[in-house]
Amino acid sequence: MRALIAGLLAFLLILSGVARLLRPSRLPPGVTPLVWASSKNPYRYGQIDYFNATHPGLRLRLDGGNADFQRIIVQTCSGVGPDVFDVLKGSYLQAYVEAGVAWDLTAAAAADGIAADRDAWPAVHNEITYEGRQYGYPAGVGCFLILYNKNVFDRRGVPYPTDGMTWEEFLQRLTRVSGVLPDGSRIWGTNAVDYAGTAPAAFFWKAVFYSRHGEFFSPDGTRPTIDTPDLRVALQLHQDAIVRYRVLPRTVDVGAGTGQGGWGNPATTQFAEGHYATIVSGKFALASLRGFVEMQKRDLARWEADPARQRTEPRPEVLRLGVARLPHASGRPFACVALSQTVVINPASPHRAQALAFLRFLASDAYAQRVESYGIPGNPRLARTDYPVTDPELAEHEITRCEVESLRDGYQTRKSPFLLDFDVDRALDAQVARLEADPSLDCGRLLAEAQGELEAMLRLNLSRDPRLAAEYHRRIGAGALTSNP
Amino acid sequence: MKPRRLPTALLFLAPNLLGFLVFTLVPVGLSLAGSFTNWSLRPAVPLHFAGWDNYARLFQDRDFYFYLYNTFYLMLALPFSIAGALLLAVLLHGRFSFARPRRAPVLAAASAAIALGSAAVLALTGSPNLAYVVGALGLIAALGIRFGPVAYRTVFYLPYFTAGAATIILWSQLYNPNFGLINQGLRHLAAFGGWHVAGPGWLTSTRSLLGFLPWPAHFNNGGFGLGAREAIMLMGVWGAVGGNNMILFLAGLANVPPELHEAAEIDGAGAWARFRHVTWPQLAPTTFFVVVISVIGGLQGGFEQARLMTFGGPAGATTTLSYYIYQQGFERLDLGYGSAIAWVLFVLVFGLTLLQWRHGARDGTD
Amino acid sequence: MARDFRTLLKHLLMVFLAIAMVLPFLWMVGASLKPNAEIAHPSLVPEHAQPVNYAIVLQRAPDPHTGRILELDFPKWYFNSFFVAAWVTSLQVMTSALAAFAFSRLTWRGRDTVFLLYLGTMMIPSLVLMLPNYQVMVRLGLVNSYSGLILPMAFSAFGTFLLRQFMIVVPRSYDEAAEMDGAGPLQVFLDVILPLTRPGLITLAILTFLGNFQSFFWPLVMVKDEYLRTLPIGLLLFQTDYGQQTELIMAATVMNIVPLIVLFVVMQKQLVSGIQLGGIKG
Repeated sequence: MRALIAGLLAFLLILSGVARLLRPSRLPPGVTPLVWASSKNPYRYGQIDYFNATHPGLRLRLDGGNADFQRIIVQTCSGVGPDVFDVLKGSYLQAYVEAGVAWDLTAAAAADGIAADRDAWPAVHNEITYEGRQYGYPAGVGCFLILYNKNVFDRRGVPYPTDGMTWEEFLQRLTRVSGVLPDGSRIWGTNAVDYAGTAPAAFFWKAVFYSRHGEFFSPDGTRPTIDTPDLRVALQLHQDAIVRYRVLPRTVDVGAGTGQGGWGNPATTQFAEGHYATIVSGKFALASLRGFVEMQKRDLARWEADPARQRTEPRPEVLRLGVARLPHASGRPFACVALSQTVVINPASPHRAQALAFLRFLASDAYAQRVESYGIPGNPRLARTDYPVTDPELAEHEITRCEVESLRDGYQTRKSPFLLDFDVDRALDAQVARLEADPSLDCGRLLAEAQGELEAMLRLNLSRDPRLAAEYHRRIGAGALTSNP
Repeated sequence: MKPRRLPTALLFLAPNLLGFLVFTLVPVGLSLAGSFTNWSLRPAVPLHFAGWDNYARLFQDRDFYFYLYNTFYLMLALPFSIAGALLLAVLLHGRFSFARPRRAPVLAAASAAIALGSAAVLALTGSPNLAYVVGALGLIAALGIRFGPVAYRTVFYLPYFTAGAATIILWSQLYNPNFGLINQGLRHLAAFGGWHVAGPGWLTSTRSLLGFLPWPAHFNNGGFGLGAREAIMLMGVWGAVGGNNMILFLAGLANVPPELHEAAEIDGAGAWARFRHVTWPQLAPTTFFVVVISVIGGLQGGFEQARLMTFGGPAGATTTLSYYIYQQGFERLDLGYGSAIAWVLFVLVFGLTLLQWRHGARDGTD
Repeated sequence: MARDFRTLLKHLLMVFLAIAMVLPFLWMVGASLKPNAEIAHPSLVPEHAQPVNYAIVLQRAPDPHTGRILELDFPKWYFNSFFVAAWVTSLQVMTSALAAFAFSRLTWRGRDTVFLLYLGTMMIPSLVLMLPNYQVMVRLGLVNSYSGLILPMAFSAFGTFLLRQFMIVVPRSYDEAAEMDGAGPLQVFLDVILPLTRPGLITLAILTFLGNFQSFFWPLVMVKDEYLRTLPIGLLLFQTDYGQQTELIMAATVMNIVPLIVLFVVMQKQLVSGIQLGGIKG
């Protein structure tokens, strides 16, 4: 037994020696390492290589492990997080700022050409600033659009969706194009699932709500405005799309419908394969659709070169994309929410001053050229609709045009310092999930519940933080004459 | 036995105790203290004492009771996985060697040959899947016959090896209501009887086997059926039955002195009697351990599946208390409340364990 | 002859039971050879096998979607997982054995209370301990290092509990015999108890090693630098916003399992021979 123990110890010490030897060498002196926690978008590598080549004193590295919200919070709270990281939703920015892991760069930004009010799209102002201070700069902006599969519409003999439709017109068109095919497979009308959060969440009702210029908070931020006609209409339309028009699958069915594999998030993959006539998505879908289309074209080329296959198999299809702006609420002008993938600097990073160089890069023309194949740069002066394209089937110029126009009409929902957007999202997502699980529930009642829940949460936040409570009472007092009951 | 003095005991205990103090007791203390405050991950919120507020809030929280129900519901699978592990351990512990040792390699080769032959035939006649399965089974049979229970134990332990992302993806695939193998299999089976079924909704459904009972409305009960909870339970039993519990039972069985078995045989006891009067009592400390650990694990469980597979859905049906703690602590950044939930959970677990302790602990010959 | 026939039936029964366990694994191996487009197909066997998936994971071939060699380091992650798990297992088995001895063989005041305290701490959901634990690691300066991955996992009430259960069934007659020969408690521990509880030790070693190998949440939070990544964290890199390369995950998992299987088989042999050697004579 003693011999065994001694041998084990020796083995472990040898292993430790090996581990020490395998440690990577330090960077040459004078080179500052920077870590960017982002997603493993294939185009990132080109962007990073260019940045490193043009900034010899810096070496940026991609940490592609999906800037996981919890991981970022825990690590940056204890000082070992990445130097710069992505924030996918405005509600996250709020949470990060409250947790103290986003650096206030308002002062630095103005001098550096990355100021929110001058050098970024106005529509995403709320995504890069919070309570009047700026915390980041967009790596890409966008809006949601309707992307449709021309092949499916042609096969079903239905005219394409266009700009300027109302929701009802859009859903009617979808009922014509969707249905069950003779071979038993099913074509859905549309697919609107948001994968930017921690869990896939239904998005259709949100798109309807935003088209009505909906807000979740009162103008002074002291009250959540959940139990309102706008939200009721949105939820009702969502339910109708599932139950009455039968063109929208439930969110759980979207997740289940995929093979849990494949390039691109599940909703996009299924759309590409022809299971959905349209999808509520944006230019970012091109990052995965491009690979898909190229794969289809390779298969087509193989088929054309192989007479034996031509006898037995029909001609393989190549996806043809069309695009239209989101429908508008009938009787109201077009409105939609603008999104931004914001890059934020970690205040605890020892290299945060140098990290500003990276944000400057994001506002530059060189970066704009490297992002336009799948996104829109944050600098409004640099959005082009005439860059060279490799796959005309993807209607890139059309998509860019639609997004730029939508961005001009885009807005951002108000944030409140008293209640995290996070909580509003979760409360509403929970109610929508219940609605999808049991269509007999009444939208109004669910919203009233959510309203009550959020008001209770707000009171809880106030009771926990006296500074917040003071601000709240100040606002209430100031707006006592104008706030709605 | 001569009573030892405290110093000796402390010396033995020291390394473990030190680590225990630093890495377990201190965090435990911090988290207990934290549950009485408004501890939040937002540094802007000044930390202050909140008394029993978190706990009061907890007891009025509808979601808490729903998730408590979910947690207990998922634990209904525990008896099956423990019994299954015991059964497998007993089967594997028995005699697998042949009277004439040279028969083993011959039989192994024969079974391998038969399996490969049929696999080839199947592959050529257009059933590659069946060929694959038959071939694999033949390989297992050959390995088992040649090498004995070691091979089978390894095969049964495979689910444990593959735990993690791969298993989650795997079972998500299997549970797919349209394309998954499970529903496809069920449809084929039903077709034999002439029925046409769509198959249960599994991960997309809020139904459950206890769904016919009148639960409150916010328990999101879809009625009677096989839903997300059953899916998680099945996956759990599959993973647990050949896993650690089986290994523990095997080790426990190994500790049973063979002389006791021989004595019982001489006395004319049959297999079942031997099990009841010799094996089962000797296995008592191991069984106790397995049950206690399983209950502890069960009450804390469901997190991985909720986080990676179902995201707590559909409509909260697979959110257990640990996932709720995660949501409150790390998504809502409200660690005070998360800690309070955790400590209420602890009281539950401790209470249950104490019950089991009173009922089942044996202290050897002390 | 009849006995051998029964044995054969036993074997067939085991093979039959094995089907259920092995079917998902068969799918996994099949999926690891499939091209991405075929993953959704409900078949076990790929139509166009793509063994290059393994080469892609091992960085010998470019990823078809991006055209680049993937920035992975499978061998390094493997080494890290193995290294950390080896240390954790060794430390845990040793310290747990020592503590279990104190709880089972020695009588001292407060023994049962302290033991219940140990047991109690196992019952606190580890999630909630994670953040305080993290703060402790920061104070100790152990974040983002091997020690940070090893030390918190190396002390476990679970191991102590398990080994105690194994030790309490060893009859006292052995201890007394050794003491009469003049052995002190350490010698009783090393020469009498440890050999007799070999099945327990090996079991704990297996459980700890394999459990630690798969551990995900703690390394996720602890590890910032790439050279420290363990396997489960590395596998995360295959799941991105832009897609999930299931076939590569499966290939990585299959490669992951093979050495574990070998280790498992080897340790089982030890378990079996331990039974025969350490068998308790009446």
